[in-house]
Amino acid sequence: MRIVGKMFLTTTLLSAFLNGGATGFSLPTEGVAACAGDSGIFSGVAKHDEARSDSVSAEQGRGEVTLGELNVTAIKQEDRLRGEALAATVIGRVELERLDAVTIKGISDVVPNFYIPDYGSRITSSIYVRGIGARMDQPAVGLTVDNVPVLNKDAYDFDVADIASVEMLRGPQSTLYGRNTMGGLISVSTLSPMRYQGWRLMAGGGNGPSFSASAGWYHKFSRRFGMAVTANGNYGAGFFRNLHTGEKTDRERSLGGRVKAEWHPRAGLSLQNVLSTSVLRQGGYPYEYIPTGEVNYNDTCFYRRFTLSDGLTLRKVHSRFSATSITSVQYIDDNMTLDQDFLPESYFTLTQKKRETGFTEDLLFRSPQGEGIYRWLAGLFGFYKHTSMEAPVTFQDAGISTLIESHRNHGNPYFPIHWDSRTFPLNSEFTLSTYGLALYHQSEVEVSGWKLTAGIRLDYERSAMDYHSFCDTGYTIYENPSGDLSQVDFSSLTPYRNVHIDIDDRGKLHRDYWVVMPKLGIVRTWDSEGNLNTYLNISRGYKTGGFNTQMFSDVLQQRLMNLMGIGSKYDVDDIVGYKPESSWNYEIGAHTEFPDLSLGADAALFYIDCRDQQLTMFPDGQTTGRIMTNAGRTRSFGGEITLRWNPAGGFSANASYGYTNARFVRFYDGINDYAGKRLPYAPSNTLFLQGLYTFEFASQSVRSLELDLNLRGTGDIMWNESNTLRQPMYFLLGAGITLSGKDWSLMLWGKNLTSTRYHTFYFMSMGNEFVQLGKPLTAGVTLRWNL
Amino acid sequence: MKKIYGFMAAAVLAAGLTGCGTGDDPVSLSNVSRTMLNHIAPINGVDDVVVSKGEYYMQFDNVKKLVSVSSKSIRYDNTDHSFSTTSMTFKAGAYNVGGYIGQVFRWQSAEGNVAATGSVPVTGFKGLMTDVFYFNNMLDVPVLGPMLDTRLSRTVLSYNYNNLYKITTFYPDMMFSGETSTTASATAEPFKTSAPQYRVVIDWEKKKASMVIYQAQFDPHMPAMTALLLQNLDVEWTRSGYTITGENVTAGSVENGSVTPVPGFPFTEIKMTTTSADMTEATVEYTVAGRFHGLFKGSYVWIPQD
Repeated sequence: MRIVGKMFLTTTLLSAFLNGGATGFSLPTEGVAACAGDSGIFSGVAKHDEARSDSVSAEQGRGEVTLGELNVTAIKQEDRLRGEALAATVIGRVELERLDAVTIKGISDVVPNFYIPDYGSRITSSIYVRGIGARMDQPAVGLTVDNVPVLNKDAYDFDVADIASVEMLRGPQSTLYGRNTMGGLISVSTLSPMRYQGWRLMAGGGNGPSFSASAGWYHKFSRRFGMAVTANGNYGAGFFRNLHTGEKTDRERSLGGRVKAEWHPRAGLSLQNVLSTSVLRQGGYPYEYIPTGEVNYNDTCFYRRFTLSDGLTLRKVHSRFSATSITSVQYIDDNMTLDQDFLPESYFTLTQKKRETGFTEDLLFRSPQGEGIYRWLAGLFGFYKHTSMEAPVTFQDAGISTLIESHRNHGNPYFPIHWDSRTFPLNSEFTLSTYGLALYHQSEVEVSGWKLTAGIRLDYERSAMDYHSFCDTGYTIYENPSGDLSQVDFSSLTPYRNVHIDIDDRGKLHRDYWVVMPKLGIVRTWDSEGNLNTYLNISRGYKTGGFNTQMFSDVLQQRLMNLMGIGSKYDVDDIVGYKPESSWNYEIGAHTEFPDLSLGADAALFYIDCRDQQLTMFPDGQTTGRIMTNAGRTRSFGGEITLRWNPAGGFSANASYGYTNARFVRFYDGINDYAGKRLPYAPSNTLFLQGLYTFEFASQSVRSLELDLNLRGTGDIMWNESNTLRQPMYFLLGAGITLSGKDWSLMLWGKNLTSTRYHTFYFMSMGNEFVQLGKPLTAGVTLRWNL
Repeated sequence: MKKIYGFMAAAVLAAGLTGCGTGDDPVSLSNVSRTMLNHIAPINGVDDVVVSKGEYYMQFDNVKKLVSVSSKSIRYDNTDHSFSTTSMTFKAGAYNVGGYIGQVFRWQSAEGNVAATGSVPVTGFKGLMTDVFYFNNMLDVPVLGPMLDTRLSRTVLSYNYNNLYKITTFYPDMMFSGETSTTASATAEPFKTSAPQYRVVIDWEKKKASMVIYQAQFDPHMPAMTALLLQNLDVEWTRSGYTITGENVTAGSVENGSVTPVPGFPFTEIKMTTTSADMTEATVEYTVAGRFHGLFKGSYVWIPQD
């Protein structure tokens, strides 16, 4: 996500790091107030705005994170996340700007044990939290943007202008947030027009080259109604060149827009509606073939996407309870087209086009927050998602000869085949309908410094798929009396018979699941000011099952080979269908503040037992023809620590470290046994170190100069289940120099300043190995101006 | 992964007729007819074995768990013979085999003659009716066509008839499933796999047979062949069952509804032999391309061990 149009102010830094947030970085209050031209906007609203009287933390004035009563995590949990039995990191607007976080992928480095590799294209958002991740289909971490739960992880990676904060809750959040939050939840909130008014402009550029710009207009029509309209654009020429075409392969351009309206018609009633849209055109996929070290492929690769969503949040606060309704509708239309072999030869290409519409409704009732010994929460959630998809795989000359003809001819060299045309498509069309309903409840008892929280969620989900696979092609069988294929010239052989292949398969599959997701949390607060608490958390997480449509190419290949007389039997449901995956998370932790030392620290230890892990494997005894399966069991343990230090004198420091030991307890893929091996793609360590120094000036035109030096560390990462390939731990040095005035800031920034060479991804295709390099040194300048 | 296909027997047996009974006792009777082949082996061990088609009628009393069997088409010596039995107690169970749930009914007569009044003696009656049998209609095999009657359960009966013959039923079209062990040489480790299945189609009048080997694989590094068709094999009736043999047979690979010869894999010799008294189990031994020696052991129905 691109963070645009925000002011960077010195005082905000000091208050942010003195007072701390959850386990990371807080939203600076005075800074925002100054930016908005209204001193203490947050504190003012907190103390005097009757619409928020029951939901705002009393610690508002200390710079605690205040995300507003219309933020979903604030609605479902306490305002003060640090008082909860969970590990959470909140990254405020200022820190996001400081890090020039371009996408959510950049933000992940800051959060311990939270890793999103940057590879492929924006369709790829493989998030790993504490070793729990998703390499296919369903996500393991949920994402909400202005309360809209993004149903498809293909839409996770997009630019959002004027982000107020990003919260990352680690560990299963399934009880309150439902499906696909087994690893955690990311909640993004954008700036509210009720809290900021005026124009926010941003323009930036960097090497590549890359350019970005945004404009946001925030206006409060009355005390009760405000609206914000934002627009943003981004262009990146890319860093990696495709040798075959001579062009940069990872170029991209995108546009986005948002209209956010907030209305408080009367006391206790508030409405928020957010309409957002984005358009993306991207090259993508700078995959390097390991033997040559080159990005070199001949067929087109691109990703284009259009998204549209609207989320309406209504909240009614009564004396004894509050009722909230969060309704969303979302639409995504995208096209991913790949040179699937990523080689200069023409093997095969893949296109995946889909249109998806989703609806969600979350109806929640709860007792007044922060009041009484006993508090409760109950909710009903429902969703419906409809997807239409076309996913043709086109075989081309090299693919036909290598993957089909030679395979078949090896088995019968006396009657070899030659395809009638040198290219043909295997077509697949799908219609997927998924709906679900959930009931959830949470009770909380707080007395004498102890808080006990227990919750449960009952979730039902049904997924149905209609598929249509079709292919019209053919080949000719020839007589080859010698049986020698090494010198075969088909023009000289006698045709034996022509075979017409006409596949037209249709079918329906469906699966449904009932899942129960309980949780238990105990928090002990050791002091009256809440500066020290410890917690225990036991919770169950869940990643839904369904159908992996990307496996359909395997279905069709098996079908084709079967017709041709080779290959194993197959069952469509076996190949593409999979059950839910679940986990039990056991965690202890502490949130601490030492005001006298200007030090804040948060720590957690965890153990995760993951069952029915969704994996691909080969059927018994076969070496081809993968199927989806729930054959795995993994365990993951580790710890995290976050430190914030804000001594006097303009200096502050932040650090976070996460360690995860994630291994297979059981995983036999039909050929190899990987029990005891480390999980691939999940780093064992994440590290973030940052030092800041601010010089303040008395001048009215230039008020401050901030120096930022930071270091991110990730690794090591195993690339395969057998743990024979890995990316050692690597470190990326970043820096920033920011000059600020009353309404403007100019930032010079740099990332990977030492040009560390590292890989972000590895995969195999047709037995060939590929990697993607991480971005090289990038640097640029960003200007922000508020009117 | 070997698949076992079967259908619920509910349509056949569970949804039986409710007859009118006396008083308040519940009555549930099911009448089932089946046509199989009869393997008629003279007990004297001298006369020739005869195979003919026969139709059986079975009445199941689902409440009392009793079954009686009759037939009017035990054909030998160009004459149709008949019998009927008294009621025999059956045992029924539903079994989950490879994800498919099927019902299996088994019964065995008590010692002595179980023939009904007026019937020739019938002794040693054993019966099996099962939903759990093997078939494959996913592939269009030329000449043979699809396996028939796959919606009906398979019935296996064996009994001594009139103190003269041992009669065992079987089918002209059966799919055998089990384990195949192949060695490439005398000293090599055998390659074992349960993927291959063997369909046997017997022309009992001409004593000729065709065999389809599905997922034929002789070596772990060789791609499995979807279906290999061997035709014009010779059938011999033996005292205990039958054998099917062939020499120097060129198999054909079934490709998209047609057959392509596979001269690279000639079957130097192939022999199938039934091995169990009820003829449900069999072995298939073969030599392919002069170097692969295969041995299959399996059955055409799944029989529970309890």
